[in-house]
Amino acid sequence: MMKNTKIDAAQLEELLMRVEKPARYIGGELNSIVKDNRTDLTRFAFCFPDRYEIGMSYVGLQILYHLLNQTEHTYCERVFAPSPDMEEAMRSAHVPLFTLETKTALSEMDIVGFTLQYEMSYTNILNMLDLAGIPLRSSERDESSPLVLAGGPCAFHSEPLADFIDVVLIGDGEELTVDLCRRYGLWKESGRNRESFLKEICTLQGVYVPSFYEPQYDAGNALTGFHKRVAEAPDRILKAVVQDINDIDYPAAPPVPFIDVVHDRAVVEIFRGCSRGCRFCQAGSIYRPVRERSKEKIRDIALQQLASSGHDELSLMSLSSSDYSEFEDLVRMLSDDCRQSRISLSLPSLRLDNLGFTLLDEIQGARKSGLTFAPEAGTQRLRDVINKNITEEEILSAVRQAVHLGWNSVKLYFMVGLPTETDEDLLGIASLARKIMEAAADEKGTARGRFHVTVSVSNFIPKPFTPFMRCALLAPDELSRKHFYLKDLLRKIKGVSFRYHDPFTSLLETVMARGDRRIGELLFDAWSAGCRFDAWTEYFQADVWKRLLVEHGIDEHHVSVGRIPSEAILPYSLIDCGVDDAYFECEYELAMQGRTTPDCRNACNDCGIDRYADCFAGARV
Amino acid sequence: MMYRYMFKFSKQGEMRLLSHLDLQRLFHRMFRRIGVDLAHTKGYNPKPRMYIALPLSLGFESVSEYAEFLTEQRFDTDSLADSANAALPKGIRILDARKIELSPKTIPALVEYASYDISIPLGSAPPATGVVESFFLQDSIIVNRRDKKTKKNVPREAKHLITDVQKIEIAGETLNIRTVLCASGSETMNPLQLAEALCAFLGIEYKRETCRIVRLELYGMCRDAVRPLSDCVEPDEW
Repeated sequence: MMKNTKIDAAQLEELLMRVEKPARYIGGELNSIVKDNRTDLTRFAFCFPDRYEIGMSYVGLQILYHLLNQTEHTYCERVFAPSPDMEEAMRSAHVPLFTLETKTALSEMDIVGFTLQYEMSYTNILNMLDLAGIPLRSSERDESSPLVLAGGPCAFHSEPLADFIDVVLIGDGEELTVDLCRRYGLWKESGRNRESFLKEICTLQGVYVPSFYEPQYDAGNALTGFHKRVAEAPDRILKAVVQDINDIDYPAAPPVPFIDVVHDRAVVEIFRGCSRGCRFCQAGSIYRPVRERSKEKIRDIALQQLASSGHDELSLMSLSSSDYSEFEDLVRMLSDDCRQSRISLSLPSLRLDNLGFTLLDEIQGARKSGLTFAPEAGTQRLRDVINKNITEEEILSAVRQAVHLGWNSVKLYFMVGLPTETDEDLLGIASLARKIMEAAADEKGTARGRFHVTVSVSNFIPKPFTPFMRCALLAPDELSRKHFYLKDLLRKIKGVSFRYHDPFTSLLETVMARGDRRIGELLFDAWSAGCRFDAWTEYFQADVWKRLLVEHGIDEHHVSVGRIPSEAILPYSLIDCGVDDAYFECEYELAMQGRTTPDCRNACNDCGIDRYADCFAGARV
Repeated sequence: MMYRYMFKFSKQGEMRLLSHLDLQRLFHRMFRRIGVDLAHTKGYNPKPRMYIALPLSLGFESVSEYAEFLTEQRFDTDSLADSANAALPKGIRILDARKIELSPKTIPALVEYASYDISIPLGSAPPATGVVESFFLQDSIIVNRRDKKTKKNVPREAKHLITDVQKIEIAGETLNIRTVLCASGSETMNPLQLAEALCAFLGIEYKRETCRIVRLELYGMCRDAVRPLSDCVEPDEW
């Protein structure tokens, strides 16, 4: 652990000359914010546990950075995970982890907040705390340590991190994080101890203080429940919900990176939530209900962001963007604005029906970027099981239209290892790929050779807060068998290429997603053994993880095989995502019967979220 | 109608850590923000017509960099530097902007020489100035040039590439050299090559990260003399 809290400018300068892409660590970007160091400011470090290039593409960072810095009481700065070369340089020179804006050591901050975007970034969190000289475990920190916070989608099921995090924020963070920082400032002034602050905030909707709950296990080591350590703590923690996203001020001038980042563009969130109800999808549950931003507001924000950043690309963000209630009007309006000033407009998650193609053709003109479809499963039977309502005929007609308009390739996304899946469903993937090639050939005439299909399969992971949360993950060797089976089938079709994901990574992801508090020790050991950047294949140390799983008595087959019984208590059962458990169970039963559930836009499916917020707020009916 | 402009700028402080591509992107965005619509190349993938002379290595500072850009609309250069500077980060400053005559020869193509200040830490036992001088008086000075393809160091005779040595000074434990180096096509010499060879000659360890390089000026040939680049373009009087 590092004790040094001073950052020496000359030393840092020399260090930066030795590492790759030093501009990752300098801050100073246009629109980044430097505030005067007043003693009454609550200093907040927004920590993204991955590289700058990934973190700066994350809209949640832009939103909270803006909202916190807009207040009088808080100053939010950014911190990203240093790459291994920078980590080595920092450790050898005893330079602690620092904020980009003012190069202040992280240990000098009041609040250090991590965003949990994916499970494979967890070792980076421990590493960042260590690089900052902050004791890793909540129990080892004292009144002088920063308060360590976590939020983001994985915060809903963050038990493996519970020993390392002081406060977990569940749900929409916009209002809650600002409120928490304001209360922090008042508390600091009051001179009361940290426990009293935790007791105060634990009653707020969306605040989970892990140390207030002690997990109980039976003789067989199964989780039986939680013992509440303090009376103030609620029995369950309901997620925080923003009622109307139009009321939340959206960043008009986010920091503009110097270096090339993954998504280097202006981005406006057009709505939150999704009404489609795909049964494997966690985002579809935890971001409920659907709440729209008005199209006038979207346009205002887009124009302001473009003017303040100089970006030449604008992207709209949401799940299933075509579901926006005035989608056509919105896109036409923005595409007019963009055309005038040579800005390219991109529409991710656009549904490729007639309207989709018309709009794509209008905004892209001659440029044909990649087209993607996500049928997720190879047969109609399995698509019904997962409630992904897209039919083969819809896909084929879209391909014909795409070829007609000049596209030469499509990408298809599938999952393998889905509940009830058989080899029949994998044959379905191959047969769909074949039919697409044939449809393309029909449309193209003789120039068949030039059309290309990429089939990309990911492994089904049973995510918490989905109808499939108690389902089994397939064992890695069975996933591998399926991959090779598919590979063989697809090899026979000319013009098709195949990609798949590493099964062991999926296993680990499941261990982290569904693990209880005891998994924290595995994480700690993995970090101690040098695991970092586990989401990056070049750094992922599978052999170390495999050895540690054995040492921790986590049997691959135990994780994989069999459904978790309905009576078993889930590690994340303290958290209430607003959707009823009964709804998830009912959806699971329907899935097993192969019955679909319609989009709730037209008729409510009684998931229970409407108790906490108005569904489709802001949408035009 | 096409209009051509030249601007001179500095790149200092932490901004020396921006790569050439980062800098290009930064300028493109800056022009968008201040409402200067750059002309674009024709074709499938139009690129803004802005060219920076002799890309500065990552880590070097400079007090006079040059670039040119073209626009399809004429605009006033008086306020250009001010509005550009308001839209640029600390460490990058437009020092001068002017309208220049159209010419088939771009500003990058005019560069013949570059002058640099090179600072090398010498450690606790600095040599005498005379020893450093004798390095430059050798009949042959061999430097290592890194081959971009093979990533190997290739020795190369560089005596003729060191055009002038204007200052050799030892201040405390630091050696300061001001020199003019060739900067034209394959005859371009990177000042770090010189620093490395000099360190070897003096028997001290060469550490790239501790050498400070500041580019002072870029020169071209015009009217039969070597002149700063800004004097090698024809101002557009219109």
